[in-house]
Amino acid sequence: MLAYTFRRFMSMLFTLFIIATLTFFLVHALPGGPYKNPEKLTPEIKQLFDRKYGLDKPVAVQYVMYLKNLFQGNLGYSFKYENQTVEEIIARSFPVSAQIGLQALLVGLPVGLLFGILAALNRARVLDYGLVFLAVLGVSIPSFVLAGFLQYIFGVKLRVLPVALWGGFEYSILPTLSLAVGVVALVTRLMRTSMLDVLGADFLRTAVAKGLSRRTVIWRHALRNALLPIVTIFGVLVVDLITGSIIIEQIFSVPGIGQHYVTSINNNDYTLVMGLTIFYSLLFVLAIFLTDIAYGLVDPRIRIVGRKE
Amino acid sequence: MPQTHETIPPQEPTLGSRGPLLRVENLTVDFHTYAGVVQAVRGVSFELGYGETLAVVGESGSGKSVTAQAILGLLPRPPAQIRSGRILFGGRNLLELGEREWENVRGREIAMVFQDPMTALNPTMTIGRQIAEGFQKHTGADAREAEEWAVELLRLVGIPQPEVRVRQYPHEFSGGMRQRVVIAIALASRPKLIIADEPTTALDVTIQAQILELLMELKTRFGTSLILITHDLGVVARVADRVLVMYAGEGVEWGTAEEVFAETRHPYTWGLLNSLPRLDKDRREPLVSIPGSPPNLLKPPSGCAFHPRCPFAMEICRQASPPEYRFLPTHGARCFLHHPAAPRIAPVVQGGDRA
Amino acid sequence: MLGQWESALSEGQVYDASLFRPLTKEVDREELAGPSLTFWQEVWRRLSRNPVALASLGFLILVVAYALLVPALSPYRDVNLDLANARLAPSWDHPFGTDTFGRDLFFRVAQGARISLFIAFAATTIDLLIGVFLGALAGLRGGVTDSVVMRTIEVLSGVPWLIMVILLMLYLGSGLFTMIVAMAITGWTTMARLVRGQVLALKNQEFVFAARALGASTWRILWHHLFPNVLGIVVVRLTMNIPAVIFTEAALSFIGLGLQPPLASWGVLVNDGWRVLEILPWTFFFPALAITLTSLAFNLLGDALRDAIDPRLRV
Repeated sequence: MLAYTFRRFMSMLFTLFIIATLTFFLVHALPGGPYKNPEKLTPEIKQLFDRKYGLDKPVAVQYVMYLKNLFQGNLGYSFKYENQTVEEIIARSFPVSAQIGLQALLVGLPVGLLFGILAALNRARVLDYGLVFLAVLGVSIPSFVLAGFLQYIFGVKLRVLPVALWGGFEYSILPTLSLAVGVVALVTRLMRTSMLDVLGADFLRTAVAKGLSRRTVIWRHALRNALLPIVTIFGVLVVDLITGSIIIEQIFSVPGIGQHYVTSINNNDYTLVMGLTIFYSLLFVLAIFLTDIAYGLVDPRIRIVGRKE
Repeated sequence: MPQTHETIPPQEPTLGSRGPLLRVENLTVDFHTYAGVVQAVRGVSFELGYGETLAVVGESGSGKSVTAQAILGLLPRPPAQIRSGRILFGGRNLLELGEREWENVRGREIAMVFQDPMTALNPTMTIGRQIAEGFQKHTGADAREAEEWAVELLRLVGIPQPEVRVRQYPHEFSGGMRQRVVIAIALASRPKLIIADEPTTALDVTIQAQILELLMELKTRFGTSLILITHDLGVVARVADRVLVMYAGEGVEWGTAEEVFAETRHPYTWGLLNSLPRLDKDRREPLVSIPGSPPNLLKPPSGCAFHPRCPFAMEICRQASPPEYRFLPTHGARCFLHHPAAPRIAPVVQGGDRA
Repeated sequence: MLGQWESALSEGQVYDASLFRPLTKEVDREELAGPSLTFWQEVWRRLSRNPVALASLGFLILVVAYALLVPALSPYRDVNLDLANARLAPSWDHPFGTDTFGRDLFFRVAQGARISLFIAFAATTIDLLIGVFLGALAGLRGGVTDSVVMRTIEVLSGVPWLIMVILLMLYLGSGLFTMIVAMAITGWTTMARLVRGQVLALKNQEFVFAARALGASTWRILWHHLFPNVLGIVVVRLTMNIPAVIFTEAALSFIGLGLQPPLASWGVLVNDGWRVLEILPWTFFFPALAITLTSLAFNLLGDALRDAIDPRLRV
């Protein structure tokens, strides 16, 4: 188990390294440089800027500096928001995005699991068909469509919830819902398939033949095995939440990192773009890493084999 | 077998002394599928006494497994449908039981050993827990007692270091060992009857003998009756008290092992016995097999299901289904050859002795 | 052997003595349970039995027809500005209403369909070509080739797809073709993984050994045996990929990296409509509905295809 963890960790670091490098070179290759209107700048001001951001050095040196800074958690100064480091910006806005994401998971996971189990237990009956359809629908509705729809119903017509900006808890409700639907849909489908697989397994028959009650068989034998594959989609969920949050924050004008990402792109704020890209990748790769570890812990087959290594 | 504690004194089986333990009367099971209705079991009857071993023999598709699962109520009700018949166990007709009552029968009165040990166990639960579960439910024992009993059972089925093994997971056991565990699970609640559905088919040949021996030994020790489903006649010869030969969902011949082997009365049984390769025959003689293949149970042949493959088939065999003909109180067969009007024939070859 | 026997334990049925003569039998032939079909015939048969699949397929054909015909035949196609008819709610003349500039929305959504579908099909096709090629290569060759491809996939997968597309578009500039390219060269990883997995599984299966034992050449094995089995997975993935592209393209519009006018994909329309959601809700809802229903149809069809192709499922 320890060896397995270690290998996954090294793999994660390696991937991050490659991503950081690629991002660096890509952003530095972007046409136009970081200045929106370079003609308007006098040579002296340009020089000052260059010096401050290290742009006067050759690319290779910049790269090394970049890596060094990265290692120290130093992501540089934002071009647009002068005197603010990228880390500061992230620290300020990440909690907002995290709150929405976590809420979406907290709502979506249990509901999805429940739906998936219900669908599998009632296979080929109306409840199953209905839930499956809802799940496919949930996957097919783009989050921005859902968001707009919710804004219209709750904000314009019913006027009960705020549709934009950030304040108290109620401001997070609609954004959370918009993301949660996608989570529910994904988890429902996976749980249903997993549960159906387990329900057809031989060892369930053994359990019934022992005289255990149907409820015991489902709870103790079926569920535990059916939940295993769910652990694996944690990484996918995080990706969807990240991607979704970028758009959702735009629509709801929520001051999270997604919104900053969009504005930094439109402002050619390269340090911010780079920093956020790496941050996103870090989140994602970390999620995958944690998923692998969790799977190793939960599935005794991997756990024990790992120990023997 | 390692030396065990004498916690289970060997029992003496009294053959048929208390009347039959299990009696199946005219069981008929249909399966409703997309393609139509499959008549998996078409009227099978047999009985089994206390402490006896009944071997159910037949090809794939003869209805043996379906019959076994029907006895434990394991058939999924759609698509399966038990059209008629009775399964009398200890006086009660099992087919009339409600789901709650079934829970008291399964594991506790009747237990089952399934064919494939690789998939019969829950991969995420310890072996000890899987053995103890049923026992705990049926006796109300606490976790510690149950684990002790599980360790004892593991010892009895021949698993070394049972105290360590009891906490391990199925994937840490080989195929043969897993089957031993499955047997331990079956025995855990001391059932009166164990049904073993081809328990050795999925195992290596060398392990097969061991498992069979184990089964027989434990059966004697615990005093359980055994229904052994198999397609291997060699196994039957060695261990069975009674034999039921099934073909196309029907019992075509039944009796004590002596009777069925030495006084065979059905052409199918003859065919089965003939097809056994024998060491005492001349090497140059061709191997005999029954021509043709088992019938499609969606549309069974008219009359006697075996007639298309039977070397002695008569016109009547195509038109009507043969009734039961009884030769001895325990020996019967379904074959028109035993009708008074049928010509006398001598079978082409003999089944020989059980040896 | 047949010495002493007792009489039948039956109902005393009486049979005519003539029935006890030997039976003349026809040769016992094994009957086939049904006509034998090729793989794809079987897939189609299963699909055609599935009402949801048929409905989805029908809907998609309708959408394509809509995309092709309406922009060519609509009476409003040359209207770029008609303030007199602006901001009209849906009616008989304008089934989807009109927008701020007086343009008929029914027509615009049809145009949008052309563009969105074109982008989706183009990106998916390139994605398919790259993914199938690399995936098959990695699976067949194994060794170093496989490692290189898998490492690349891992790295590319370490960044969320949308973000990669965004970065690429920053680099390439926004526009129709840059969008297609950006999506295709970053999106092939899933297809490659699937194909590689399938090839690996098939490579070692017994039917391949059997074919070799019968003397089949490598080429024949590839074409006749491996290819049809891989194709199934590819087709399913295709149908699932199209909605993903439409979605991503629309997301790009919301971010500001979308298509510039006069090109108006569904994503652009949804974005425009969203801006005036309060006053002209139909300008948002109809394009939104178009995207949703089309994605739904593709996803349902993809699911049904996957079930139809699975040889183990007894449909």
